Amino acid sequence: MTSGRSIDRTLLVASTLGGVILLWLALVESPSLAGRENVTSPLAWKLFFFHVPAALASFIAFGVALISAVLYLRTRSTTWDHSTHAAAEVGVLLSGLTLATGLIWGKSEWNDAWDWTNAKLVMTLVLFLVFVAYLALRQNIPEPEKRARISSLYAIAGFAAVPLTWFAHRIWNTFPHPQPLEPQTTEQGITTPGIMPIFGFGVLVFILLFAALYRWRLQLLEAEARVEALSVATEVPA
Amino acid sequence: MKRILLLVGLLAIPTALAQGDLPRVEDVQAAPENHAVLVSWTAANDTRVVGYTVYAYRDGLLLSTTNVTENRLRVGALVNERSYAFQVAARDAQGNLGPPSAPASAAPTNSRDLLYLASGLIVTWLSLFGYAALLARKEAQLDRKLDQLVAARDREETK
Repeated sequence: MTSGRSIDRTLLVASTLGGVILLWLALVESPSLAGRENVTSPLAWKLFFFHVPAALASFIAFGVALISAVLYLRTRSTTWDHSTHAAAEVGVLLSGLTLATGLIWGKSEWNDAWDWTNAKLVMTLVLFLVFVAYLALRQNIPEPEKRARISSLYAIAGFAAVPLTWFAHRIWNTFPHPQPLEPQTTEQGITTPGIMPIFGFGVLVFILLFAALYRWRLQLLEAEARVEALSVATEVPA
Repeated sequence: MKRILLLVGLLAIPTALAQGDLPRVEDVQAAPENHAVLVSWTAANDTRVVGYTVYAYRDGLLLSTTNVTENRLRVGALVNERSYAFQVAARDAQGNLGPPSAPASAAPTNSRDLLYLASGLIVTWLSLFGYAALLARKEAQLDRKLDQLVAARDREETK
């Protein structure tokens, strides 16, 4: 469990420091949007600096889960199964954060936390639930090999929810969900000078955060497997 | 220009509807809320008055007309930081309206903006640190277990 720990500690420290800097940039340095025509909650708007990077990092997490699942099915190496599990778990955390910050901002800006006509919002919930179900599925298959095979297939199929979430506003076009990463979107203030670099930094921080948590979780899953194997060998209950 | 439009709007519509000698509604107050304005006024002391009609204006244009029986109305679905004007007229059982009140105006505002920001940040950092704390706890447990197992295995081997 000691190998690679220094890299993981470095990642963890870097992402924590990055998080503190992002907090300072978002709260202190970002330009105020008070008085803008379509921004009625200029303070709650700052949640976008966490909401969007968390969403992007969750997509990356589910992408890592997809690749790991494919590699497991090709190699049958348990490390890839653990990788799928770790990435999906951190992805669920990030996806949950995306939902939570989005709901809080929506309540502040629109006085309505949830809107079923907002395709992007609904698809983010679907994506979150798809991977919560992945974790539940793993819990309910006791046989390791069968669990790894079935959950890998599920993770591959579940990834379909990622592009559907990304393009939800274009596919269903039902609700004007803010698109801060599309430059033509001006109504939510994203083109205000000084905002985009903070967004970019936020994305970097959340990717680092994902990498740190994913590697940490992966090591723990590998350690759990070693403990299990040793428990069987020494006949001591794990 | 907006002020002229507002005056035209305020004067034109309610005056045209006003009939009879119902009393003028007094003391109209407009209190800003998040995406809403709470309009309240002193109830008319006249037995003929059975209700009130509330007029909401934005930029001098009539936005909505609402009939109520109480002496307050929360006008919702408004845009924050935009100014809205309100007038109230008394109404009798036949639907006749009294003269419109003096206008009261307010701009809805989100007084909980900071609270929402704080909530979002707390949720974000508590979730991340909470998850990291869970992993740290699990790591400590696994390290302990691993040490025990290695020690047990070593004991077995020395036997």
